[in-house]
Amino acid sequence: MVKKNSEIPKEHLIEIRGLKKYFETKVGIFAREKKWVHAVDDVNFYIRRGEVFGLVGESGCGKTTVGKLILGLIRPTAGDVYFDGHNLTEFDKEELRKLRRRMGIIYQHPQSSLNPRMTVYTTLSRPIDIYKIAKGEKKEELILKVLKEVGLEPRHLDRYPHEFSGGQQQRIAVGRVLVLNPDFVVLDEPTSALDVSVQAHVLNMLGELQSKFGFTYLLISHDLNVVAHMSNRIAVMYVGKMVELADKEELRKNALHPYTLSLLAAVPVADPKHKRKGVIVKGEIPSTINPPPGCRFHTRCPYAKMPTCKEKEPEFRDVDGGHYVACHFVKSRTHKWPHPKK
Amino acid sequence: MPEPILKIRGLKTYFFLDEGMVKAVDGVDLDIRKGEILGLVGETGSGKSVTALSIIRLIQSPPGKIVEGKVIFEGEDLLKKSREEMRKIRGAKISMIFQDPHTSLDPVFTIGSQIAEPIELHQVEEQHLMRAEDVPKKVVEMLKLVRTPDAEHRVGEYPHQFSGGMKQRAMIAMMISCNPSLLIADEPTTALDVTIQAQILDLMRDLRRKLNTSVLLITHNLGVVAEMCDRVAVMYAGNIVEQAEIKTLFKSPKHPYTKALLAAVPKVGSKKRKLETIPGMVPSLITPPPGCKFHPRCPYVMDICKKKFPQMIEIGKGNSVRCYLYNKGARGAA
Amino acid sequence: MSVIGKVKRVGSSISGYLRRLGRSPTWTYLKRDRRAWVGIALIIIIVGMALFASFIAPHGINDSVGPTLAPPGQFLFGTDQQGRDVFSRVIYGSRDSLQVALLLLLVETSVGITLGLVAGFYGGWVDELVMRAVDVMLSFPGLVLAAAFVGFFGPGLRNLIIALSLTGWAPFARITRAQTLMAKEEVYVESARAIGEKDRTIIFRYILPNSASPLIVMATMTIPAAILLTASMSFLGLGVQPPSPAWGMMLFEAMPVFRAAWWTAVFPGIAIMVSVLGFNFLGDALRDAMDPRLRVRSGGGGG
Repeated sequence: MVKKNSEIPKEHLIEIRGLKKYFETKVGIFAREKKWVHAVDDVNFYIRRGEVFGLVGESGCGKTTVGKLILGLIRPTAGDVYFDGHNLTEFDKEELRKLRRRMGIIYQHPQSSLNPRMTVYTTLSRPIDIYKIAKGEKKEELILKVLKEVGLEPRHLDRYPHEFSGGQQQRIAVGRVLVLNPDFVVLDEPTSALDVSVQAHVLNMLGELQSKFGFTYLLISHDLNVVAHMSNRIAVMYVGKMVELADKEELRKNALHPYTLSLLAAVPVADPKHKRKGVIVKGEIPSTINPPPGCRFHTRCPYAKMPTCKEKEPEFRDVDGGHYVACHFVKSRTHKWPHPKK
Repeated sequence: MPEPILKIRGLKTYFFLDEGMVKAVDGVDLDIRKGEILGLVGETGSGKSVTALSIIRLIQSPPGKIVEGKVIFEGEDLLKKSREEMRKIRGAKISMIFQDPHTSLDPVFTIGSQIAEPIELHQVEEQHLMRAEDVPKKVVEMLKLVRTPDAEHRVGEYPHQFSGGMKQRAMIAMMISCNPSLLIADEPTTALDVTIQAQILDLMRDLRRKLNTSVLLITHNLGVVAEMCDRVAVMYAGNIVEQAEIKTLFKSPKHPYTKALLAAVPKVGSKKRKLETIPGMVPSLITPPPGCKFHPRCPYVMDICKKKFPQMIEIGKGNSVRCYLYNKGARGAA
Repeated sequence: MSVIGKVKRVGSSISGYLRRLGRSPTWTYLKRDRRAWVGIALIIIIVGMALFASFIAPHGINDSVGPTLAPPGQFLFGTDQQGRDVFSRVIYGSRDSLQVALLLLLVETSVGITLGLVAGFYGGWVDELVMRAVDVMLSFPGLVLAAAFVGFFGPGLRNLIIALSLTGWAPFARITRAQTLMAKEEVYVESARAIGEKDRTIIFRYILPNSASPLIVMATMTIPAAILLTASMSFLGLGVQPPSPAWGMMLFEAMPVFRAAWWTAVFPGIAIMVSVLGFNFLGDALRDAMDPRLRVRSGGGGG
């Protein structure tokens, strides 16, 4: 058994150090050229036990890849992932598989995340059988208990996923995680594919389960509203890098990174009287195959100053009390940006 | 008040499937005024997309069919027009942009040639408003209008070389190239990233200002509605249940479904731990509940709600609801 | 759980499976397709013959019951040159044909599907190896190779099965591999890994059941092919040996007397045709029912 790393504080259920994941891809005619997709490019953070850690960002930022790296579903190109003090990069395939007992994941599209040929009963029993958690009577009891927690009924047990609505399918997926009673759950866009009213149900349920069972959540979403609703701390990613990390309220009131500000400005608010604070940033999201040199946001940043921003990558550091920012100009959390010229 | 450019009366579009007859749109009345952005809001199965497709008659038939109703556009009933006449209207007078920019553009033709197509078809051939040799210039002009950087060069590129946001801009360019009076946008930004979405919505507002185009904006995102629309119509299970000016809808929603929907949306900065939820599920469109279709889920349900289908009634300036809570004495009979 | 409980659960899962099958869209469309019913009817006839041969056939396969007589008359299908009742021989012949066909199917599918699953799932050199073998086997004319095999190793049931399956497994492997490659990318496969499923379980309980449709159709269509192949082999004298009433063998034995006694060849030929048609009809209908695009729509409706 791999030994624990004693320098990781006990409070940090997950700790990420220098995490990188590059995917190989072939471009060009006849797919000759080999290029690298810098999906996750040197990310460092930790997740505390029992907290809801929100990870927000747009296409290509790497948030989903981070989730899968933590679960060990993908292997990092470089860097370390510590789960409860254990360095996952030192685990072999079988050890990782056993560790999955303590982790769960909920996917964006519930229908595709469930085996279409397995009944609800079988779907819920698989984790129980794999880790031999319970047998016979106790197993039946556990399944019925979990069903109740997710708001389904015993008569649903013999049915197949396609016979359910999206919201119900997501409940089944949650049930499958609940059955293991894991320490850590990755929620990868759990409600993005659901209707507004169904989303409310599912988010409430996830919140209740967290209070009740003390799960640690990594909530990944492109929807800032959803992340802000549930998270304790929120991290913002952009083109493979983490650019800001702070407590929810601190981020809302005092976001420091220009990208976070543009994100907050861009999110549509369900209130016609709301006036947009900040600018709608121009330009396209850069490709992760050829990310911009220096600070990746410099091509769109209204405050970018050459040549610093173009040449030097900013450090991701704590500017005060747990508020991390990766920007050359933010020296403290009282930093104020001037009104942008554009 | 100016005459609406589009008047829909009693529209019913049904789908005849093996499982039964799906009443996707079951009696919809709607007006769109010149230069306004009207939002059509609803969840899956509400009928909002089918309504839009019915207007420009792009319903797949079989299994769908517009069984009843009138769609009066610029004084004429579109439902009575021939296929050839409709073809002349689509792209020229009424245009539609769809949700997924990645599949709406043909991958084997250049962006420029696709934008040129409606111009050539409608303005050059049919209306003789332009000469064929002027088309390329107009195409570049349109790309610039939708804020495509480096438009002169990008005209010759193919869709796969464009990002999602740029593809959607190209779609918009294509669809407004002939200066339509009505633009129907079906979830135009749902598939886009947030910062790109903000750019596209800003663009659409700008175009509306410049060209005075009316827009029917279909979406399930209430934030987009709040930002963009002048008026909103809320749909549920094939019917419009509430219509209002934008401020009225958000400040004092009348229909219980509208209220519930607004309360279910998470907001940044909200202190609420739990979101309001609507009990029950979306009803079957094949066998909808009797009376008001929302009654099985309504916290204010009364006896009459279960028996008689409520009619729309006006309760204020531009505000109408389909609910017995506002219909004392059941005035809205038959 | 008590025994009663266990029985209940198994019972309910079987009835659940049947209920689901009955509700499934495949069955709904299959029901409507006349080909399916014709096919099933023909198959029932053939299978019935095989199962109840001893009750239906009035005579034994090798009993000389009279001189060579034409049908109809005392003997429904007449008698052959050795005085044996053709009718009884045709009835018993169904056993041989079906037996060989089903055994062949068993071997071909077990080998082919397993190799396809492994190749598709693991990729790399395993995939390369299997696919090259498939390429080779698909380029061989099956019958010729089988004939060579039997010619070298001698005739008999076991060798016949081996000979014919030498190339027969390849199409199964190819289709299965393609299906596996697609299924591997599905989210439910990744989610299975996420809950800690072992590779073997993922292959057989997640990927295989969801790849089954084209394989079922293929299997149904392989049976008539197998019947024809074994008939051909027997006809060439390379299959089962006399006095086996295998239809192909009957054709072989009928060759010298065909002009004088047409009934010795025609009836076994019809039997072959009926069984092949039956499975082909069912297979066609099944394939169309499983493919959402080819399904038979109910008549009427709007539009």
